[in-house]
Amino acid sequence: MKSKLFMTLKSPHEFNGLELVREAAKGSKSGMVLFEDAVIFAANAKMGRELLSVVQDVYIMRDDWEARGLPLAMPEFKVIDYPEAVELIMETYEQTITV
Amino acid sequence: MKTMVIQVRSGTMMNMDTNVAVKLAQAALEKGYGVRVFGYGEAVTLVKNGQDPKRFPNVGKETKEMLEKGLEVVVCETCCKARGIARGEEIEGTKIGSLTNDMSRFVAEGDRMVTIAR
Repeated sequence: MKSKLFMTLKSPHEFNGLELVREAAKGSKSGMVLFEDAVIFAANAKMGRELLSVVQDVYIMRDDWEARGLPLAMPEFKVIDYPEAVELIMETYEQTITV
Repeated sequence: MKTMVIQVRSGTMMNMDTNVAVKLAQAALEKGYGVRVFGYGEAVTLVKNGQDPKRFPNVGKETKEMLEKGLEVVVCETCCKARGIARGEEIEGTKIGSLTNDMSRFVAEGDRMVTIAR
């Protein structure tokens, strides 16, 4: 199974791809990068834990996170910059899937 | 050289989607990867020349700067026609092309594809 990097730009309130991610990620190395309002997942422990139950690693974009000034409820999420996002897309994972 | 293909569907100044695409492209070019962007739907505004936003990042200017670093940008002709964007109105060095010829070539030749869409 190819390793998969999921990406989303949607806030937790409009995101409805959790089951799709759960199924697609089964049996493979998986991660998810959160852009724009998707970083709100990191401020909500319940929603954040749901994400971590379907993928192994969750990454949030630093500038989107800092722009919103929210309290971090998910210290397990990794805060990254664009060069790291490129590394994840091009080298760490074999596929990217936007949900 | 590995190539990242970025498909964008949101228009400039609709939200921050095109800015995400620009930042990803800039970071990938900085790391030495090839980057190809295909603009579909509202994202054809990526290549409209003469962009001059007062309160938003100037995606047109940022695109122009990346062209000098090897970025390739094509937008969908049908989507341009639908929005009244004619050939000659695109930023020099970008192309009004097609999903069937250009996007399919990008996908076939690219190493990773990223979709920036909602």
